[in-house]
Amino acid sequence: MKKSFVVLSLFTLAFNAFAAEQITALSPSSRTEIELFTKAGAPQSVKTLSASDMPFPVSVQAQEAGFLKVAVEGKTYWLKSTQVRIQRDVVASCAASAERAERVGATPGLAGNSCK
Amino acid sequence: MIKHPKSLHKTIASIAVVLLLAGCQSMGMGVDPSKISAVSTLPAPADREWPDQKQDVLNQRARVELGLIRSPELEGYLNVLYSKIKKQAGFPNWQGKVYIVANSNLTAYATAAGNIYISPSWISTAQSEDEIVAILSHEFGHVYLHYHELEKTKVTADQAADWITLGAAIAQNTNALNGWPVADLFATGYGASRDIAVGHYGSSQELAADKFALNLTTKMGYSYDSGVKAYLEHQATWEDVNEARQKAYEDKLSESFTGLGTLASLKISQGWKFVTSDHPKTIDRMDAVAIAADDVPPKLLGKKPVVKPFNSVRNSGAVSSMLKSFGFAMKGLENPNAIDAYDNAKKSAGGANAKYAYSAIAVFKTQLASILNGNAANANGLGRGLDLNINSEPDRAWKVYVTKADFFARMGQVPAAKTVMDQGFAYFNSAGEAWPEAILFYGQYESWDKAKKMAATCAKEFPGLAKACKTAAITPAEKAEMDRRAQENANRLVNKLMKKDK
Repeated sequence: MKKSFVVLSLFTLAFNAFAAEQITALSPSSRTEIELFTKAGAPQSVKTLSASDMPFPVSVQAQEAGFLKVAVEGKTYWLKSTQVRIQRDVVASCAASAERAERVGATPGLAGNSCK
Repeated sequence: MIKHPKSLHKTIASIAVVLLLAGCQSMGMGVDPSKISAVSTLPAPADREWPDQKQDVLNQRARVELGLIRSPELEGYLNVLYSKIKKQAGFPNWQGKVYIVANSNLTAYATAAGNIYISPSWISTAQSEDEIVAILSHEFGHVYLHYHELEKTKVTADQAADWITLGAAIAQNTNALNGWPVADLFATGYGASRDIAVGHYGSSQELAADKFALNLTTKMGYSYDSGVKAYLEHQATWEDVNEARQKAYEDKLSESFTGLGTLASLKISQGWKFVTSDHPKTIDRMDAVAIAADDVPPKLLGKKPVVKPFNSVRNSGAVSSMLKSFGFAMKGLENPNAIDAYDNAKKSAGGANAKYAYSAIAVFKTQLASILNGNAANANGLGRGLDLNINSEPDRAWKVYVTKADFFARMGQVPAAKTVMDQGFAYFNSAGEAWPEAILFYGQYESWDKAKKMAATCAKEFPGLAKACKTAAITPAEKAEMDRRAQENANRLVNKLMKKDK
């Protein structure tokens, strides 16, 4: 699968939250099936799809109450956001990220230094 | 003749690692990460002595390449959220504030003083208040879990290891152990073991801080989906972007013979970083949190995110202006030699933003590059931004002084350079992070005796920086001798191996 990344320019600061967001996998990784619903917040799913049948990446069309609207197998469904992993837009760069090595006193950061 | 050299090496390396681990245990090292769950009552935090908060901020202004960004409106909003987090955890009176750190990476970190430093990139990237609260809660989790005790333990173990190394070297009275001095071998063995031990501990703390954030944010009524899950997904995307960038770089390296050598070194380095990483893979963190979230009541998982107050602050005049200004400065710094770099950097210097260190340094570096690339007409006002930063006391960054002093020195204006360095060091000398660069400067432009005396003071006052200060005070002659010995050792080892092979 070819990954496509979206890193917004620091200038544009466009916060169109779901313009390019995609579902890339089920969550957690051990999940094997995903429930599909006819509407957001519906108590019962109408269909269950195995992970291998999900055509990743799946574009997110809308979001509502913890549910994501998607098109699967030519039909529109809603699925629980907590059950999938989303690729989200990032506004960052590595222009000035160099931390001085071997310094003291701080935690290593929320996720270490990605700009290696 | 050395008897059982390998077992000696193993023994002393083991002693040092035991010292480190014993230090971790004896110092308590805060709360056991495995006791943090998504829904339970949080275990009581360890007692502690709080470092001075203001000194901590000065330390960061000395440590961070582009300093901090004072943004009262944004900081005010973030500090209201931080107060709510502390209150939810049951410690509303704990010290600590949120500050903006001028780093273009997605980064946030906490210090033992209870302060949290977050980059503008996170402010621009986050999609809701839920996500910002989750990030701050994760960082507060490190404070609560007393992560910073690890730093003290590391310094203690490093000092102990130094003594063992010295003792072993004297005892052996030899310069050959399989072709390598015993002290070097030990230092390598200890350093490697220490990094693995610290990395393992750090990883467990990250997972615990994620669960801590999940626990607090859902109890505060924020969504898991738009909070902890969102920041991990943003982080995962950012890592993917950088992996792709790294791969493109490696592909380019592999196209040439010399590049292949660099690539080989890079791979070894990356392998080591992977083994010693203090952060587990984000995907593992996402899985761990997703499983932990099963314990959270479903109604709290997908709550509607709080967006309006966050966007209101982010889009307000001063904050929006700062974020745009920062973006222009980073665009300039991406490649100071680019034809539009100086123009971009200049756009960062509008209004109140001109005094920020990130803007001052971006304008200076790109302007200098432009002049060196033949645009002499751009020479007017070189360094004006650096002065604006220096003249605005709360915004001063150590790196601005270093940049200005270095420029004067390279231009042959050593007295002017020393004046700048003297002024900067007088302001920042209580921050250990300023010492290595000051020592190097005074060594180069005043005397190496002074540099060595300063290094001794540094080691005493700031034990964690002893190595960096000692390295900064190495004279060019000493450096040449060290390089010669290292080469000699390498040659001896290679010769020995070659003979063995034959």
